[in-house]
Amino acid sequence: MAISRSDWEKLTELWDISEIASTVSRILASLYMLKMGVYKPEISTKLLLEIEKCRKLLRKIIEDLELHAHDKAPETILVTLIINTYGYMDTKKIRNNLLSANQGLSKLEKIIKQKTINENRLKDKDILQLENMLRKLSDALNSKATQIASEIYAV
Amino acid sequence: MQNFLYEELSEVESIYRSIKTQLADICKLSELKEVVQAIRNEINAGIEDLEWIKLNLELMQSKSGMKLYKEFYTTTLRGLYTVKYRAVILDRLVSIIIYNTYIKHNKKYGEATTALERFVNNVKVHLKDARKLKFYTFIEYEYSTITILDDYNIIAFCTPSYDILKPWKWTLLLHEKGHTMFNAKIDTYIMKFREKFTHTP
Repeated sequence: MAISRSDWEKLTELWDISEIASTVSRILASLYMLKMGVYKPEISTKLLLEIEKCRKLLRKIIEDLELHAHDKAPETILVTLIINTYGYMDTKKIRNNLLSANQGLSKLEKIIKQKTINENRLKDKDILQLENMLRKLSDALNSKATQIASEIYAV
Repeated sequence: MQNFLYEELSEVESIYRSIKTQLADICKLSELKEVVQAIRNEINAGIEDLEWIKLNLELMQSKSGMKLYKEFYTTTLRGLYTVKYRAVILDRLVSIIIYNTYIKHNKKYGEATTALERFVNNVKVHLKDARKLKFYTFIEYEYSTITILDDYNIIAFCTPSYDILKPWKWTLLLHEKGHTMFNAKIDTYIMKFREKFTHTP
């Protein structure tokens, strides 16, 4: 199969989206594990690294969203994804949800560092907001990745 | 239920094994040192992700009856596919590199590929923003740029095989370079130009 320039553009897009999706799925899977009472100290180091990556991702989304909202930058792939994630274009509302999810991330980090994992602490509203955002973002990312992959491999 | 995940895991592992075998043939070539190292780093990161998934699956074995397990399974499968996509893309890149190595040692094309490399690197001298980047030239089916390793400052420019012996066509690569330079400074450019467009009376 010949690989055209547009194919490499798509492959690069798939590469970047996969990287984001990977971080999102790891945090989300870990959150489900914690909710089911599964925790082992050996997963905490990796999980803390993933939390840091996810924090950077959220910051970047908020930054892109702000620039786009003030007409200082075009709609980036992250902005498109987050709009698809929430299903509405109210940037102020999206921003507030993302800030709450970011708080949830910090609370999750604290729980893991203190090794005091219990169901009640995971029911915190910011952690629930984080879970909700990650679940929807995972859906949006998965749908985008599947679409690009099918475009590439269907040639 | 987990059998399918383990089958997929083993498939991705075999893709990585295949890439490693292919890399063994080219790793001694000094001109490819950086790109080979970057690919190895990506393989190691991918294998680390697979190990993490395996560990999680082991820990979750006794929980398969729980309601939330279904959500965990779907999320894990999606995570595994992201690793698989990246492994397949890396495999394609390695195939291009190996093809290029073959062409480079071919009597008919050897000199032309060296000249092409010089052309690409000479242009870099005039691009202030590109100094920290390492440029590679590979042979492909179309003019294209491969930027998947840009975190390692590696950019590959591809020339179609039918144009290797037509240096007057290589200027088309400058178009590709324009994209690369734009992406390298995207934040600065967008802010600068957009400001002008949006504030024009």
